[in-house]
Amino acid sequence: MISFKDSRALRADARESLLGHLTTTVTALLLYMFSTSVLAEMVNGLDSGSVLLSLALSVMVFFVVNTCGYMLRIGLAYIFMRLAFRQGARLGDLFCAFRKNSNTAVTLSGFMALLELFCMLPLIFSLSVLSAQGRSAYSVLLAVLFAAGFAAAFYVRLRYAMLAYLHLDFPDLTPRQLIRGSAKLIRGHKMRLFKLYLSFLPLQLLTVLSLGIAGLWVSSYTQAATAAFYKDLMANRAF
Amino acid sequence: MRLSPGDNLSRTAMSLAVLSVFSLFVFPVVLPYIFGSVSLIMAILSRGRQERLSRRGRSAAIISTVSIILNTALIISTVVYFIKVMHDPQLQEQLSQVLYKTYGITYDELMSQLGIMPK
Repeated sequence: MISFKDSRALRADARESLLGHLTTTVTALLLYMFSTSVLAEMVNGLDSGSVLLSLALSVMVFFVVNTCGYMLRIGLAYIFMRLAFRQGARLGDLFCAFRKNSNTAVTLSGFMALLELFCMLPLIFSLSVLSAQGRSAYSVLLAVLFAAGFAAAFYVRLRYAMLAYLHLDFPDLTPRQLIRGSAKLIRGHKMRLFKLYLSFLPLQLLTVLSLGIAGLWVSSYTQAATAAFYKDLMANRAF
Repeated sequence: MRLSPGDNLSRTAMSLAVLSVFSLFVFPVVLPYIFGSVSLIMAILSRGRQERLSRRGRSAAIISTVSIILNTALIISTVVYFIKVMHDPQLQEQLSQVLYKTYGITYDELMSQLGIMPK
């Protein structure tokens, strides 16, 4: 009989995989956060007088930053997957998507960035169209658009949560096969993954209290638990 | 004898928990939260696959939690006290005397420096 692990067992596996490797994982996450924030800052300064050009720039910036960010997330998935399968991991593995099989990685990253862009497009459009002075009058609308976009993007991330792991485990598959396979693999398990993420909510309070510093350890724990979830999924169903 | 990774982590958690309590008296508000939070998450991670925390991990978790709670109580009591002072001229006078003795400025001067006009 097939039985999948619950959140408690997955968190135990995650803690076990992290022991002795926290320095690597925390440093990798720090590097990831630094890289993505530098990317965002580099293009943040772009400004134009025209609404249409401003919208086009915002869309382009969002797409480029998210694509590069996802390629780094593939590197993070690689590190935590290696730890989940009791293999060593190095800091340089964070950039593995830029070295091995990079064409597929770029395609998958672009796909994820495009999906998240569609989710946030109404908000980006509204922010570009509304001038800075006029935004306060539409604050309720902007808040609703933000909440809806965030919820849609979260669902997308949940549906394709296993995409990076599948790409690393099956490097010979095409992007289309990986995307379909990822959606098929998580079918029936999205709620289980959502419950796993929810179980980390109390620890996220520590991140807020410590101005984000404890978030490095909490994110390591969360990522390790997601890798343990993938390992459990693959152990119990055929792909 | 070589320590296991879990023991090392619980030792680090304990050190940070003690630092958190120490910073309550030296540099409250920010540092106790930072040290306390990191200590707590490290104590949790030191458990590994075991059912319960080790003795040191449990102590670190308790000390860091107490530190976070005390820091929160300190912040709340300070805010409540300042709200009371702003509405009570007698308290303002008392605080003014203490401020003048310690720093050489009165309560009104401090409020105007902070941009908060006194009532």
